Amino acid sequence: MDLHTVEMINSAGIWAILALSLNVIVGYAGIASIGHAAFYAIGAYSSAIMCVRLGAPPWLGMAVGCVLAAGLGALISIPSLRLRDDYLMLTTLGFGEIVYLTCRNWESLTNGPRGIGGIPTLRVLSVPVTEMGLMPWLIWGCVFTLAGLLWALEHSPFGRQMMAVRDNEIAAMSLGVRPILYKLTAMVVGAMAASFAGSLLAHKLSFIDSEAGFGLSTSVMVFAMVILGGRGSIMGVVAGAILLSAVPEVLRRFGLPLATAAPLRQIIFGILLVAIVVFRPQGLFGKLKFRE
Amino acid sequence: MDLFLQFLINGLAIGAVYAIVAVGYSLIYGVLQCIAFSHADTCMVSGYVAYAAMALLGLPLPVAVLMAISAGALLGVIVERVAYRPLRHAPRIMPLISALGVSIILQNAAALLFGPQSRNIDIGVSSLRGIAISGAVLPAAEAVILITALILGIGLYFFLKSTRIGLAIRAVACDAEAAEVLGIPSQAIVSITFAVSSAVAAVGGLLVASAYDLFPTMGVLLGFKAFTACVLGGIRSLYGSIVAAVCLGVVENLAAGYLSSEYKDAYAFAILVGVLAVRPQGLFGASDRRI
Repeated sequence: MDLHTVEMINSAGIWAILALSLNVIVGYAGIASIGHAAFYAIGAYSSAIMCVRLGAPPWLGMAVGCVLAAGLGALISIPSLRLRDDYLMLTTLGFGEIVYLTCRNWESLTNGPRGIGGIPTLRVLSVPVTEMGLMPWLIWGCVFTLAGLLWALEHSPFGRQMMAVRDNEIAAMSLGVRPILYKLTAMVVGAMAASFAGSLLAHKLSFIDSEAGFGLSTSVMVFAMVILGGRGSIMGVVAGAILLSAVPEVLRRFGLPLATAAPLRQIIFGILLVAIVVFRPQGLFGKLKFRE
Repeated sequence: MDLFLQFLINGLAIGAVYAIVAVGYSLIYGVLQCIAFSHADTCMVSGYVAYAAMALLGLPLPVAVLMAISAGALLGVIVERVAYRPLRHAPRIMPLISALGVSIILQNAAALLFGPQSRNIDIGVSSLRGIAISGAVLPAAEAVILITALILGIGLYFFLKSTRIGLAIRAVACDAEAAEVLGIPSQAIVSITFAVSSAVAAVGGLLVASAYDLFPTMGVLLGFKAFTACVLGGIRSLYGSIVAAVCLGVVENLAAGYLSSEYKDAYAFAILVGVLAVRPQGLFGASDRRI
């Protein structure tokens, strides 16, 4: 396989991790979040800043990113207890914008649009993880591990209680299930996994800047992957990630210039979102019936 | 002091724009109990319609204004038909997702047609000198915003208060089923509400294009702030939303002036989260069911 194909496989894997992480929040806990790129950004910048500025080993950067993301995720889960879907969606949108604005404007820390370069390559047992070599195995290994963890969550009592809170919060509470525990857990787990994806991205690209896709369009793309694949369906969400991350490549094959292809891609996502909720609300592969 | 007055004036103008958009959120929320996610994008599209009419086709201002308003109203009705009506009885999250989809389509269609750079339209006041108020200046374009917003506000007040359609909108907002029983076609009223709100938002789009910048993603932050104002004022309280929108514009401008302008857009978010955490029904406590 040539470099371009491998790069596509790798980036599809990172999208799959992101989509799976959002699936915990949107699919299992039922929190409509369109600020997910914030956690992705936190992971990427934690890795970049820790490794480049402080010379820390990559795993430490990842760990710091996960801890920061978990903290912010916990913070965001507090409004999710009191707010309904629509209010919550705007709160998460605002949260995502704030993190993006901070990445762009806090130049002394993040270098803003000029970016941070020289992020070291990951090493597994002192073997460097290169794009053509170990990278696809590492990334897709993470995808399958995460998918396995989600499967275990889905089939555990804890996961079932989480879904009970999603389906009917009041009924769940009447049976002694406390929503806060499940919403908080979902946000924290989802945030940490997204942060991990961000760290992978930073080490993969070795250079990140504030325009590397940490804004609303990334949040929307991940959200569209989850909705398209089917909320709460692990296979569906991974399939959604693969399908939607292939859209830019398909447009590229048509030879469209970037100025046309980028908005066109977004328009396709928008049309998919509308079409899915109107015609197939459970998503392409979802089996769940979302009742009123 | 002069600086303070200047920030205050600029804040009032942008606050008036937020109010024009916030009114739409409030009205639509009244009849559908749903946040019209793509409402601020209607504003953006109308701005581009006016821009296309004036800058590309060379039409005179009044024609462009009429075109923008009709385009806005039409778009509002279409969006309601496509993205909201099929999902009236679906769980609340569904119309939000479809509206998000519409929002993305509109933003990127504008980017595709007009490019990502920002545009302006000249409504014939750019050459005028501003009005000097004890050391501060009220630019002519911002004066137009304030006057237009005032006229719109008064017009909307009488529309809702004294016309049969306004009465019907308030009736549906109060209790859609009871209104239906009394012979009010609530579906038609929802469409009319979308048309009216979107027409008002279209005027907002024109004002933004004349005094500030018009760009494809302007609806994201504009809508976010207008919605923050609605939450602040209590989303069911139309006049609460208007007052809160103006206050938000002023506070934001003062904070940008005295604290840091880079995080200008972050203040609204902080206010939103703070209010939602403490007082979700809004500062003016409109837990009653009027709009």
